[in-house]
Parts: sequence; structure tokens; C-alpha cells
Amino acid sequence: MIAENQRLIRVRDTEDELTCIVCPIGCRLHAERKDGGSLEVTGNRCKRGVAYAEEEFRDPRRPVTGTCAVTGGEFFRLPVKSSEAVAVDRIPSFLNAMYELELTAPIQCGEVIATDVAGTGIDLVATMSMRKEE
Amino acid sequence: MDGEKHMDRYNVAIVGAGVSGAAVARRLSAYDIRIALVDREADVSFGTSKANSGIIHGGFHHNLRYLKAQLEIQGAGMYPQLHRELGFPYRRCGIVVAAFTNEELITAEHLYRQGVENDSAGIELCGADRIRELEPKLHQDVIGGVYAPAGGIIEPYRFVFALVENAEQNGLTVLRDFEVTDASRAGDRFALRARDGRSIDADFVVNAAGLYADEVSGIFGAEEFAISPRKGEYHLLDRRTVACPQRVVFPIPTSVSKGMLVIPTVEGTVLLGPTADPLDDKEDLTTSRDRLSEIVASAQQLVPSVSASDIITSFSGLRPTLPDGDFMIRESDVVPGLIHVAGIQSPGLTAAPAVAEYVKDLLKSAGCSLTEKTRFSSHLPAVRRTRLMDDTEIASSWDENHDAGSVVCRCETVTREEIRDAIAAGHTTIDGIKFYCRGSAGRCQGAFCIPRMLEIIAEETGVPVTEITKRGPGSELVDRTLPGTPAVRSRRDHPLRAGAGAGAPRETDVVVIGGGAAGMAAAIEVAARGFDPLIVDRERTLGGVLRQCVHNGFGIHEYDEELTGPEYAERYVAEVAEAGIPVLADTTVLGIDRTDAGFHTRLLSREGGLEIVHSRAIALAMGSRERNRGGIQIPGSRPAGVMTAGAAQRLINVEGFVPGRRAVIIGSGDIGLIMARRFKLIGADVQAVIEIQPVPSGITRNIVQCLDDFSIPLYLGHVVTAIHGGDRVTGVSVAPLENGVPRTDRGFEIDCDTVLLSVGLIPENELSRPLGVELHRQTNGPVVDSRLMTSVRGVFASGNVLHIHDLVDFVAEESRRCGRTIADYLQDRDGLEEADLVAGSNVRYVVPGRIRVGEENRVYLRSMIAQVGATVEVRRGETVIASEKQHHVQPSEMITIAVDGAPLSPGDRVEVSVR
Repeated sequence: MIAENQRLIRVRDTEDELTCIVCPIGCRLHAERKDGGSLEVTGNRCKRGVAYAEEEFRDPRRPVTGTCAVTGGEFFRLPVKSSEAVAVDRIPSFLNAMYELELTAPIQCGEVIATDVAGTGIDLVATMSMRKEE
Repeated sequence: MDGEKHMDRYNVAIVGAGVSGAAVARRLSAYDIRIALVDREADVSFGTSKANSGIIHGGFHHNLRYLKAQLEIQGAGMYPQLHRELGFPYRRCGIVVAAFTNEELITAEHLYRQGVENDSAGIELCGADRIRELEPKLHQDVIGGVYAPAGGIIEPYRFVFALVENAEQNGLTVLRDFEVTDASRAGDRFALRARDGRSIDADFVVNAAGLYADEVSGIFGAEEFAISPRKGEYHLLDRRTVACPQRVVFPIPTSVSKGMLVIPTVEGTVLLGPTADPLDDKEDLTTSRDRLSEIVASAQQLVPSVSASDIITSFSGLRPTLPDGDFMIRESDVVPGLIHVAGIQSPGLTAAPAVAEYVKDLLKSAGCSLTEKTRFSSHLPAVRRTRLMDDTEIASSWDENHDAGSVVCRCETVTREEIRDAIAAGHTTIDGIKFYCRGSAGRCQGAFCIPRMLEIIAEETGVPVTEITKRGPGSELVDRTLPGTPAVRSRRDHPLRAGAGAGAPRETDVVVIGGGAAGMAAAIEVAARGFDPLIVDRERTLGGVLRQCVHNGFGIHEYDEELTGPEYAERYVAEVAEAGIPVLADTTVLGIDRTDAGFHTRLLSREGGLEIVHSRAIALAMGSRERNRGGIQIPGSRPAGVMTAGAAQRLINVEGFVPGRRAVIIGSGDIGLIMARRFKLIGADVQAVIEIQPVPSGITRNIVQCLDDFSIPLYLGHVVTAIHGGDRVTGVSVAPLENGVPRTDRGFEIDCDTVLLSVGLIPENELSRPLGVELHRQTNGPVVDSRLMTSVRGVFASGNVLHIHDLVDFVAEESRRCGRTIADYLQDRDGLEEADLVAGSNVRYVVPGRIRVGEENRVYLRSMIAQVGATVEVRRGETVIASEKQHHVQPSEMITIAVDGAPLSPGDRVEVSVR
């Protein structure tokens, strides 16, 4: 459902503007990869901004949430989440694998419904219980 | 229902199922002839007849030398009997024409004399006192006017539906989606062919094609004439407006039109308009910014209490006009057997019954043999209307069919049974159902009920949801379903009160209205203190809006971890179950009445029918609804694909229905941002987010992770100046805002098929209002004291119904506190010493409005300013009572602080400010 060759979520290479989200202030950061490999960050009000930018350049990850098809329950969609944050360049494959699942009620909230989704090593977990319905 | 093959030969074919065609069809159905009524639209009454003033005129606006005046007077006189027979919404409320100057009064005298000549029953010329007595809502500067008691109001589409339904009972065939593209004459018969290839034969044809009567005449090779559309724009006001007059209020007419009116509708809403603009384009149903503001200004001159904040929707209609301004009803000179009913503009609705008589006579003289049927059924059974029923009627309706207990449209109290009635009567589009039974016609404009209506239409008709339309092909509402989710739905009746096994209790300590985070949290605390709460919720599952918020970010304050909405809800559901709190799901509260001992709450559900629960206290926890298009008056057309972000969220996350492929989101509220990301995660696109303010209204994290991550452009300080598209959205016009005015010269267009609105939430106090609960002007929630008790003793409020929260953790915290104070109230621990708390500098509001003396209080406030580093200060006069440093403040983030009531005395006035 999602084109896997496209960059759904942007990935940062050498230089970019970004907004720190560690606290509500939202400092506008400028980050630039120097020749030595170190990242130069400006615009931050505290050191947490530097760590944030470094993480965003090194290994950006996002938790993934969504819904899966389910039959035999009182609803047709089951809310799910990734067991941990997924590397952003793997998110399209992760989503596509999620959409391919066809689950059957009953399902308990917290139940692992798929493991090692799209080879990421990350599981998919039900975030709502769905009772079986005739 | 649509005709079958063997039925394709008719004596009379009527082209155009507006009010004229429908009235002719009904009149002719009294005779022993075969009649077909065909229309190009997906339903009858979808042209001029769906968007007009809905007035039965008083017979004084036109001179009798015009055919339209003669038919107006004759037609008006026929309505009382038609109303008795067909039961459509109609009220003879009378018309006043208000004059404000001596010159206007002279015109009024002229209208009066014309009315007398026309035999307008009971017409009066009024002075200032008399006219104000007749209509107290009129502006005090009125000096006189005309009163025509014979005038009235009608729901025009309901009238057309009733005519058609009754004619169908008497054998009429209705062919919808039948656009006549070709006609020929073979011998003495006409052959009519539709665009889709269907064809019918008829001896006579009535051309009642409204705006297209000229084109239909051309198709038949008959005379040439030109119909010009004249556009009328309208605003519709919520039923709760204070500006609802008792009578139709007209200004003094000008040379071009009867002016813009203030019209009380039979349904209790108020219609303002119309404008009158000549056009070329017969499809142009757009509204414009300038006209929409003119309407409000003009209405306020007549009825000053009209307020733009009561607008729930705006629309326009086109009136078909001929150059001489009169009706043209006659047999064609060129094509015998073809009867034109053309140029039926105002007062066409009033005249319709007389037009039908007139056409009947024309057909007779043209040689159509008309013998009266021996069995003509003139009466229609009444259309079921739960909103207007008393309790006995509701109960017996439910006894007949339990679907009459399942409320689908909350604003208008429309049940599943009423929607089934509409479908059974042939209305299978969202608009058709709306016109028939008012489902989605109320103040939320379908945000809550359209997902349900889609499901019901799919279940009842077997049509896939992807083919269900707003008003015909091209106006589909669902683009596709998510993988693995069926588009075809069969009906499943869910067990609602699983485990409970019994109906509602007759008596309980507290009825908690709403089973979202607020209701559950309050109920849990009430139960923990040994009292009995009962949770009532309209949905099938507890959790409220959390159920559809499948993203994460909930519970950071309360649980110190990031939960998704359903997970957060699940924790509360578990607590509710553990405490053994009874829950009535899929149950609607119809109303709450005060009694000596407390309250009667009237409940309606499919499973239990009408039930009444007595309680000592009420906890209001109904949450909020989304501000919609009517609330911010975006001009343009009204295509399918415009919806609130929350409605889209429900469609996608709960139903698995994808509403479109490319969205523009208006407003940068958090729900809109979350939906921008959701669109991307389901393989759809988001073209832009348009925010009127210079700063985003959602939180920074959402801007970054929902927009920046996906490179979705955010236009700050921009507005959408128009929505484009006929059947489905095709794009929007956007312009930067300068000093509050859109600079259209620097504007641009964005293509899209979906427009999502994320422009704020409104506390849902529809049940609080009739109970007498005083509401706060800033928060739109109840005014509460330190216990979160409203102005009505024993009624408490918490969560979004009280004021809009940005975090569910705060909703839960506030509601738990509310549950505790309810328990205190039930224990009669009631001696209260309070000080008043008011909003000071840079504070939009503070809740509650009173705090407790001698105790610790928690208060919530919203800053009006955004800044890094701020101090929230609570002062009594010059004395600082409490002061708390904030790292950062902004309007979108609620601030909560503790205020120690120890230094206070009862009656003190304490002010909270942000510096």
C-alpha cells in the first residue's frame, strides 16, 4: 500500500534545520555534519537539543501505530502499535506488512500479533481488546 | 422504486422532479393514466426545490396581471388541505414586512393595497406598536409594515417527497438519474432516452425541468427560450439561536428582489437570505465571502439578535428565470403534446399546487383523456419523528421495532428506524436521507453520524460503501477501504449489555453521562467512596474519542509512559469493570429533568427502549464536538469530501474507510496534525496544512512528527478563501492574511479531493442547556464552583464538556477530583467556603471559577500569550497568594497550578495572571 522505495519520512544526511521536541519550547536547531564526522548543532537552548539532533541524524526512529484487519470481532479494525520505535527508512515495509495481516477475534490488548515484522526484529502489539462475536 | 422493463410506456412523462413536476405527478395520479416522473439527479427535489426560502407567500408581492400572482394566490389556498392529506412540515405562521423609513412605509401601503386586491386573507397595515407586537424580535427602529397572516413556512424537499410518495402509492413511476438527452416523436408518441441508455415512451410530456427547461425544449425540437439562473445564498442558524422570529420577516422589497429575509423554519432553525445574483452558469452553487457577510448584516437590520456564531451551514440555490420574470405554462406551439412549465422562480413553491391544476387542464385540452381513479389514496402515513414524540409514542415505536431505540444522529435525535424509513422511501444518498429525516442536518453537520449512516445504507441496500454518495454519482464519500476490510456490509446486531443481563436500574446515586476518560474517571472515584454510579454512553464501547485515537502519546503524566488512546481507555475500562460499575452502552440520553429528590434521566436504546433512571446527582462528561465548516464559514461549493478531522479519524481508524487520496487540512489543531500523518501512513497524500494564526495551534511535537517528518507544507497566517468542486472536492483557494483580510491577489490554488477541518473543539452541552446549567462565555462549558458543581445543585461537570483540555491526563485528574466532590455532596458534606477566581492579564480563562478557602485547590488556565519563561501569579488585591514559574507558556497548552486556600477568606476575589 505504501511505495517502499520512497522516503515516507525524511532522513537527514549532512545538513538540516530541525525543531527540537524534547521540551515544549521547540528550539529551532541547525545541524551540520563536519568533515571529522562530528555534528555541529546551533540554536539549542540546552544540551538536550544536541543529543536530539545527533539521534535524528544517526538513527532516526519513530513508534508506529495503526490498525489491522480483523474478522469475527465487533469491529473490522484492530488498533495496533510497534513494540518499539522503528527505523524511519523501514517504516514503509513495516506498514505494508501490518496491512497484510488478517487477524481473528478474540484478541487481548497487549497481545503480540506478529513478530519480527518485515525483518525489523520489532513486533506488532494489539492496543485494544476485541471480543469474539458470532 | 425505479421502473421495470414492461412499464416503459406511459401516458404522461414529466421531466423534472422538483416541486412543479412532483405536484403535477401527484395531481395526475388521481386519474387512470400511467405516469413517469424522471429526473437527472440521484433523488427528487435535488434542484431548485432543495435550496430556497421554504415560504408560502402571502399574496401581496405580485400584481394579478402576472400568471405567477394568480397561481400564487390559488396555490397558497390549497396548502392547508394538502398538509392534512400529506403531513409535510408546514405552518401558517404569517408574514411581516418591516418598514424603517417613511419612504418604505409608502411601499408597504402599496403592498397592502395589492394584497387587498389579490384577496390576501386578513392582510393588515401596521404601525410600529402593532408590528412589534406581532413580531417582538424586530428591530426597535421599525416604524410599521404589512402583516399577512395567510403566509407560512414549509420544508420544501419534504413537500416534494410527500407529493412523490403519495403519487407512487397511486401508481406513479419515478426514474432517478434519468437525464433526458434525446427525444423523438414516432407517430403520436414521444420517445425519451436517458444518458445511460434507458428509454421510455409517452403520449404527452410535461417539461418541468427547472433550470434546464430551455434545454429540454430544445431536445424536443420545440420553441427556443432562455432560462437564466439567479443565485440566492443562505445561512442556516442553529435551533438554539435567540433570534428565531415567530413569523417570516421581510424587508421592504427593492426593484429586483423581495430582499433578504429572516425565516423561522418548521424545524425550529432559522434561515437568513437569499441574495439575488444573476448568473450564466447553471451549476454554480458556490457561496461567497462578501455575500455571506451581507446576509448577516442585512438580517441584523431586521432582527438585531441574529448572530453569526449560530451559523451551522451556508448554501446557495438557483432560481430559473425567464426574461419577463413570469411563469411560462402552456402547450408548445411547435410540438403538440409537450407542455412547458418554465421560469418557475419565486413564488413557484407557493404556486405549485395551482400549477398542477393548471397543467392538468392544459393536458385535458390537449387531448389527454383523464378519468378519475376509483381508488385514489389521498393520504400519506405520517413520517416518524422521534424528536417530536412524547415518551409514550417513543415507547410504542420501540415496541414495534427496536431500531426505533437506536439513535444515529444525535443533534436531531434521528433513529436507525427513521433512516430505514428514508431508505425504504427511495432515498439512498446522504443528502436524500438528510432531507427526509434530518439525519446529519443538525449542528454537528454529520461529524458524528455520517460514518454510522454510511454503514446503515450499506447494510440496508447491499451497496458497497465506496459507491454510497452524498448526492449522486461523483459525490462518493469513501474512496476505498483499508486492506482486508469489506466494503459490503451485512447487518450485525451487537449484544450491547453483555453480562449485565438486565435493563437500566430504576435508581442510582449518580448518572454519569459519557463513558470517555472523564466519565470513567468520575465514576471510579464515586464508586470507590461507596456510592453507585451508572455510566451511560452513546457508543458501543467505552473510551469515547480515545477509541479512535490509535496514535500514541497518552498518559505521560499519569502513567509515565506513552500509551495509545485505546490502551489508555483500556486501563480505565478495566478499573470500571473491577469496581463493578454498571454501564449502559449504545444508549442515548434524551433529556434530564429535575425532581424534588434529584433527577430523572431519560434513556433510549435499542436494547432497553425508553428507560428512566432516578438519581441524586448527575455527572456531565459528554466531551466535545468539532467546530465545522459552518462555524468558520468557508465560502465556495459544497462538494463531498469536506469533513472534520475527527470524523475522518473515525472513518479510517474504526471503520477502515479511506475518505480520499489527497487532502488539504484547514487548521493546525492537534487532531488535524495527527490526521495528516495518518493520511500518509495509509498511503494517501496531504498537500498542505493551512493555519489562519501566525503560530501553529497544535503542539510542537505534532508539528515535527506529523508534518516536518513527511515534508508537508504548513502555511501560517493563511486562509482558505474557497472550496472548489461540483460533486467531489477538486481543490481550494488559499490566500495570505494581512491585517485580518485575505490578500486574494497573492493567493494560490491547491488541488485536492478531501478537505479536513481541524479548527477547534466545542464542549458538547446540548443536555446541560435545557437543564438550566449556566454556561461560561469563554469556555462554552458550565460555570462551576470549587467542587466542579454547575449552577444546578447536584449537577457536576468535568473533562472536555467543562473546558477543552489538551491532554487526557488532565481530563482524568480533573474528573477523578469531580468524582470525589460528588461523593462529598452525596454525603452531605456540603458546608462550602469559597473565594471567586477570575482570569486576569494574559489569561483567556481559568476553571473553576471558585476555589475553596482553607484547602488546596487545583486550577486550570490557558495563557493568551506564547513565551519562554513565564510566571503564573495568583493575587488577592496586591497580595500574592500563589506563584509558579513556567518553563514555557503558549495558548495551545493548558497550565495547571495548585492554589493554597489557607490565606483566603470566604467571598475574596482572587485573580490569576500570566507574566
